[in-house]
Amino acid sequence: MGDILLILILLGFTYMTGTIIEKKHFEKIKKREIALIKKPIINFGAKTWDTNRKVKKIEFVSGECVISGDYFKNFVASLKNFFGGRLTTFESILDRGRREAILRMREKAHKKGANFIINARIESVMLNDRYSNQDTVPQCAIIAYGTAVTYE
Amino acid sequence: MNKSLEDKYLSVIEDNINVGKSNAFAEFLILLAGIAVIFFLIYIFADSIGSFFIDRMSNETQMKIENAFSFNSEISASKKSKNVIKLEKIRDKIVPLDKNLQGKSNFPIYEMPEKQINAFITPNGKIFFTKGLLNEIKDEETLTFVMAHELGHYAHRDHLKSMSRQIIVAVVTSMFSTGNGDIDLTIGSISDLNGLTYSRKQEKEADKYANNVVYRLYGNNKGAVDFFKLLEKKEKAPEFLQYFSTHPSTKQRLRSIQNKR
Repeated sequence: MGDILLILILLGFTYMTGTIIEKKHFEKIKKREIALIKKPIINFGAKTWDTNRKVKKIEFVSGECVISGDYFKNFVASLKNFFGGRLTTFESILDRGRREAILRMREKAHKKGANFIINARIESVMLNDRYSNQDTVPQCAIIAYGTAVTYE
Repeated sequence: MNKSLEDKYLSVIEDNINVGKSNAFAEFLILLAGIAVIFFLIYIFADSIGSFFIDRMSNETQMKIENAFSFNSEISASKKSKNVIKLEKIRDKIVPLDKNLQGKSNFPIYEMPEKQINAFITPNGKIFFTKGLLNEIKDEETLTFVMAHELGHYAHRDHLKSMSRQIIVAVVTSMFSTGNGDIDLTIGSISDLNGLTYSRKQEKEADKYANNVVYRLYGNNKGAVDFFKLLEKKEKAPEFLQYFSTHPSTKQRLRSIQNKR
C-alpha cells in the first residue's frame, strides 16, 4: 500500500511540474519563433538552388536538442502500451524538441548574419542503448542542420 | 514579406497541429479505468471457474488439497485452558447442524497470546482465537457467532476458492507484465482492489451463515448484534475505507444481520 501511495504522489507531483515546464517552454518557443519570423528563411529539401545575387559566405549551421518526458508522461505512455494508440503525451515532447532544434539552428544563422539556410534537414536519434536490459531514460535527440548562405 | 503571409506564419505558430489536444491527466484516468475493467472481467472469469470446480469437488480431494497446502506441525497444547474447553463445547454444538462440516477436519481450537481482537481458520480447519478476543467477549452467544463465522468460511470452501482465484489472476497478470516495475505495481494494486470485493463478499456470506446458526441454536441473533456493536465501539476507521479492506465495514455488517433472520 505504501509503494502505490508513493507512486501516486510522484505521479501527481510530476504531472504538475511537467505541465508548468511544458507551458513555459511552449511560450518561450513561440516568442522566439515570432521574433525570427522574417529572419533566416529555411529551405527544406532543395537539391539545387540558384541565386542572382553575389554570395559572400557559405557555412554549416546546426541546432541540437535532447529531450525527455517526465515521470508522469513516461508512465502514461507505458500504460498506453497495454491498449495501443497515439502516445499523446510524447507528441508534445517531440514537437517541443523539433521546434527547439530548428530554432537553435536559425538563431545561430541569424547571429552569423546569414540571409538564408538551404538544404535544411532534421534527424532524430536515441542516445541510449535500446537493447540493453536496464531501465533506460526514454529520450530523443533531434538535430537540425543546413547550409547558411550570406549575401554580399 | 507581405502582411498576409506573416499572419499565416503567426497562425501556424499559435495553432499547433502536432500536439494532441487531449488532457494528459484525463487520459491517465481513462487508462486506469480501462485496466480496472479488464481486471474486473478477469476476476469474474477466475471466480466463476474456481467456484464451478470447487463446489463440485469431493470431500477426499478437498482434504488432499488442504493437507498439501497447510503446515501440519502440531502445536503442542499441553494443557487446555478454560477458554478452549468452553469454545470446544460451542464447536460441538455447531458442527452437527451442517453436513458440510462433518467428516472432514475435527477443528482443533487454539488460543494465541495476541492482544488484538481476531479469530481465523486455517485451510486445514484449525481455528485460532486471540487472547484479546477471549478477554473481551465472555458471552456464549457472541462466541458462537464468531465460531460459526469461521466455520462458515470452511463450509463454503472459501479458502480454496480464494486460492484458485489468486492463482488464475496471477497467471494472467504475469502475461501482462510490462517490464516496468512501477507500472506492474500499479496494475497489481488495481488487481488487488478487485480481489478485495470478492473477499468482502465471502465475509458477508460467512456472516449470514453464522447468523443462521445463532438463530437455530438460541432462537434470536442477540449474539451477532452484540458482537458487531462491540466491534463498532472498538474501531474508529471511517466507513469508506472498507473499499481498501478485506472485510465490509462493521456498520454494513450489522445492518445486513439485523435485516435478515
